[in-house]
Amino acid sequence: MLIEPKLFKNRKFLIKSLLVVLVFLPFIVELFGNAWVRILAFSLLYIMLALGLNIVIGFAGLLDLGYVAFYAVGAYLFALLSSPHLIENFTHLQLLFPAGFDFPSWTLLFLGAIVAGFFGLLLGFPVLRLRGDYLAIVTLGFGEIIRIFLNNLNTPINLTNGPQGIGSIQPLLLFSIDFSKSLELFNISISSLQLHYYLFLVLTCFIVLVSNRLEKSRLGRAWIAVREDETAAKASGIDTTRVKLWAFVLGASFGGVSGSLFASFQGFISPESFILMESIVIVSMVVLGGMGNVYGVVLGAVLLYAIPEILRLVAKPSQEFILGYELIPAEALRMLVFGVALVTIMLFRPEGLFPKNK
Amino acid sequence: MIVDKCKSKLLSTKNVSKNFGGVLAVDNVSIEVHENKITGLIGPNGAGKTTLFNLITGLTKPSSGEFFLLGKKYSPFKIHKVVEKGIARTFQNIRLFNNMSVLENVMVGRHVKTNFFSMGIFSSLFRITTYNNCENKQKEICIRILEKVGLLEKKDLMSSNLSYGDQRRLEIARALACEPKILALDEPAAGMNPTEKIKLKKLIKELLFEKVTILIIEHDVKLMSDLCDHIYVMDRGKIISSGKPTDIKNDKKVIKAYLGGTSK
Repeated sequence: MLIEPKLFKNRKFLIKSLLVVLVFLPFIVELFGNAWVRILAFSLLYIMLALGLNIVIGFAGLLDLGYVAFYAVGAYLFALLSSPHLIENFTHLQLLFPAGFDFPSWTLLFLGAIVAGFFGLLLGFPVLRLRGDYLAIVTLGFGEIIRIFLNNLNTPINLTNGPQGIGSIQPLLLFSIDFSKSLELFNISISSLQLHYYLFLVLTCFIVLVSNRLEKSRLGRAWIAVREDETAAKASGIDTTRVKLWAFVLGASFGGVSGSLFASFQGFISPESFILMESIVIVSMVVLGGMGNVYGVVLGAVLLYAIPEILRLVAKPSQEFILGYELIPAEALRMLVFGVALVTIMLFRPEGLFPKNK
Repeated sequence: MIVDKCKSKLLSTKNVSKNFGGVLAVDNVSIEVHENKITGLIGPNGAGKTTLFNLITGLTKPSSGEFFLLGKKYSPFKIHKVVEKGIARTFQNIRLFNNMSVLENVMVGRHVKTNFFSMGIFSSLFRITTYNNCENKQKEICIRILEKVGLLEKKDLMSSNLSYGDQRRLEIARALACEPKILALDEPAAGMNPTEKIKLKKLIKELLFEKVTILIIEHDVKLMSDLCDHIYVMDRGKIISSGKPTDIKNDKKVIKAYLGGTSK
């Protein structure tokens, strides 16, 4: 009882100092090259994704292996509505929008969340009665269905441009800041990459806050109750159908926003970005960090995204420096370390790095 | 709408049956639970007591029969709807939310008594005052309930770390958080030691003062005859006897069901 307030104070201090570090990080990292800033930005994107999936897996205990589908929906929605692709292919749209779509970016992000949420509902309905392995199989199928649709919807009408993907996606334009150009602020030049990083940082903080608050709300308790014992949850008066659907919808909408951000950040998307492996990596992030623990999941996402990427950059030069030649190719080493890390953690900390309440 | 004239009859079932394939688990059972009384349900293993419980609380769908609560017909098809109507239950094999604290377990029970608008997603995201007030109020209510069952000092423990008897009482606390009219207890004393049983008996008697009607399944004959106002005896899906505890003890059919014997 006496330690609690002090711990709380410490934690607040910790979060504040972490935020300060995160604000200055892109400038420090930039010295080593733009690729590092990119890794930072992508880490944040994966944190958002993992936190979205954490609602479904961590809070509500529904094993979803097709989560990348919602990421894809958000990305494609953004891409279609902010690239010339649709207008080029549909003549009547050309008449309606002679100057291109030109929707404000924030509406597209919002729309991405809503449409992905709707897809979450779509997936949620048929799988309500399934648990565990069966749920995993159906969601896996759902993820593949979306990807295969995206891959093949170039005929008979060219909606998604098939495996070639959609390019020339407009950059984000928020608060009259063009994210494709660098911004001069108090004589400091903030590059486009850094701008994206800051946007992602703000959104990530928002999503962390939302996750934390949801967890401690009536709905969050209901989710955890469903995860722990569905029958007992029902017997405590929880409408498990509704609660599970909310988990799918909210989780999917987080994925949708991340997808939209991904599309605008990359400027190009193709079905290749939304393969099953992506889903598996996101699930691993949630499990590795500690299911249900927001900060654990954040750490899991950073580790599983950043370590392989850093290895990709560092593996070759460091081997050449030590051995004089490249012993293991970077790509192979990357997957090797990834695999070993997962196995080690599952052996020694089967509940994740930071499990909830332990 | 069928309205029952007898007001004290809180819950009743009429010709309720349930068959699993060819097995008649509950066969044409009609029972009545009277307001502010303790009604007991006893019988040898496999008699269908728990199945009857599951039927009443909506955990399993009945094959046939009617259910009445406060004289009004209700169809127990969804458990959470039954809880909303005022029947909360505990389980024979303890079902708690293991990775939640004791207090949180009870807070889950408040789910039906709070609504989507005052404690929904948006109000919980923005932590508006009504939300905070509502949440604090729920917490107070839960703490009072924990005090009642004697678990107040353990409210921050993980529920899985509680002793067996405490877990049983926590399950009762969670059911009480739903503010039920009827509390259905499925073998609440199973595995308890004599001291814990005495505590439980005291708790159940206290609940009566708060206008909670109790329906209870239990094997402990002494506990049942001390507690119950009325006892139903089930055997092979049928009610074979009912009455005051003293009457039941001397009923030959009951003795036969428990100890076996010829049908003469």
